[in-house]
Amino acid sequence: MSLEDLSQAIIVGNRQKAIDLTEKALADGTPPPEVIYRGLVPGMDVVGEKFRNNEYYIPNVLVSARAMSASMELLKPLLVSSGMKYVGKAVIGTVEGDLHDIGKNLVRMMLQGGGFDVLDLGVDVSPDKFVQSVKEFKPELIAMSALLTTTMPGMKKVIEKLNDEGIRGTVKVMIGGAPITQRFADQIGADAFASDASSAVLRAKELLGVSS
Amino acid sequence: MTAKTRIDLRYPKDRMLQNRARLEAVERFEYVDRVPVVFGFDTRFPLAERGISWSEYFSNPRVQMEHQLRNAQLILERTSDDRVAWPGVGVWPDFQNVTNASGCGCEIIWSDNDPPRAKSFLRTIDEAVAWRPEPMAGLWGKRLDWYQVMRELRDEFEVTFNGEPVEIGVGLGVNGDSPYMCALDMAGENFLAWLIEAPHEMNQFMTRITDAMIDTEKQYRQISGRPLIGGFGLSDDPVPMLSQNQYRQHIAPHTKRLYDTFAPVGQGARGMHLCGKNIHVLDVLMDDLKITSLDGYGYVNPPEAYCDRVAGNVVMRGNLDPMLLYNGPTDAIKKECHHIMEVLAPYGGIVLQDGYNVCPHTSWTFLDAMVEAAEEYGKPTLRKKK
Repeated sequence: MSLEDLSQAIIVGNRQKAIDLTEKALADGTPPPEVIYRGLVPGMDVVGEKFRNNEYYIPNVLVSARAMSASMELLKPLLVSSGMKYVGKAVIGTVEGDLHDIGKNLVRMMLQGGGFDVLDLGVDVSPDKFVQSVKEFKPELIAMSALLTTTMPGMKKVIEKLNDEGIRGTVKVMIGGAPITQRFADQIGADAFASDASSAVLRAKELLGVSS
Repeated sequence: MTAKTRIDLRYPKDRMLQNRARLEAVERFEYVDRVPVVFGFDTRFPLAERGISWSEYFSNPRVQMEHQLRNAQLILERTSDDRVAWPGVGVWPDFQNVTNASGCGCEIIWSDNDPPRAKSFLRTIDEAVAWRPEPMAGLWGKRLDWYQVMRELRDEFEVTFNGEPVEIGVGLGVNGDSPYMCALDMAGENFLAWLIEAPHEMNQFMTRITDAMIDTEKQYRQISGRPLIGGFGLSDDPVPMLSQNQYRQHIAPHTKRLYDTFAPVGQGARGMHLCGKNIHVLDVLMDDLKITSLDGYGYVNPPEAYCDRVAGNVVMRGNLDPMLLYNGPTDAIKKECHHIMEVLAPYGGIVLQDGYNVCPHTSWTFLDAMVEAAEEYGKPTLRKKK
């Protein structure tokens, strides 16, 4: 067994195999960060690439991300003691008034698969809650999602609230969702727009100066 | 005896006739004098304009009926677009886009300031396999109840159009949200994963949802005296999440069955609304589903992408960015409208619309800019047929 096999299980979205291989890797004494960075992350990188190339669509990415999450569940309890370092911390949520979570969940899983420590605030998240999470969790990145044109203005409110609180400079803001465009991101002063879950990881790493 | 509620709708007759000519011409892939414009007004825009909360709108059939009539009055008397083609007004039991999901068992979350949302309830493949529809469940049954009440309530209203009495039409039908949208409401993202993990079971699940929609629509048509066959509009809005093959294999057969039941090819309009990315499924829409119109198609799709397969073959309504319409400025709105018309209008069958729909509190000045753009552009020169 090799960590390449684990990557392959992630790529094809075989959750049970991902669990089995993760357990085996740990039993063999492989350090958890190595399982992540040589098994899970390369697998999700391929998934992301296939998604960008329109070889994979959401169902494919979901089964892969779920396989990755199942593996992560086994690794999480061991990460603190292993001295695992994340590539960054991110807060994610769907903006106020919007209950859609498929895209947001996908970005969360892809960010986790990309090595980020992610705090998921859920759906219908108020500007106050976003700002509070920045103060408490101290992320380098906020990722906001909206599916409705009616809720898009909520993104602007979050940025305004960050400005009002004097903490806008401490965090990068990335936005996405079906109706979002680069033009809208520019209009509201977001740092980045991601057109899909895969590019969200790339944009996030660019914003934080992390090499892919 | 309670006094009747009087609503007098005013609209210039010559304008109405002109609108009718424009809209009828576009169905023939021709133009009278310019590209017609029809704003994508849903309930949320006039409710917001009038300061009415969603909770009030849904409070009872009498209140909803009056708000729909007042909404229609507001739009009809202010709009600069070409929507008013016939004298008359209609109401319908409206529970927004969660009606079919509720009929299939979803709990509905109501709120004061936002449209209702459906809560997913299927957590495992086994639960989806075990799910069975109940006749006239949830909002499907409530819609029927309200329909009957609204018909009786017509006597409490006196609606006139330019001073002439008009009968209030009361509509009854399933929502255009497709079985695919229902499945997503019922199972959330699980459904997408299950398409890969259990395709056979998901096909059966989709078949049962489709059966339920067909049965309900048949009953609605029978009760309301509408013919069984004669047009059907649907939305497979979450299509950007699927590949062309996934859409063709897992979703389109069920969408097609609805079309074939209520609008067999050549016997009625087969409308499709897709406001997200849809370029990758145009072949499925044209070849498998044989749609006759693409309605409120999204601004995220470049107009150029429709030239090859769609433009000139089906009526197209779209696709100005609603946020551009909301934010302006006028020049940018007009520029985008001109671009859409330059690319697509020569094919015929183009209605300028937002894609989709108009955000609450969008300025009338910005909406008017769409009509001004169509007037500035003038009558498109039709290109020769392929």
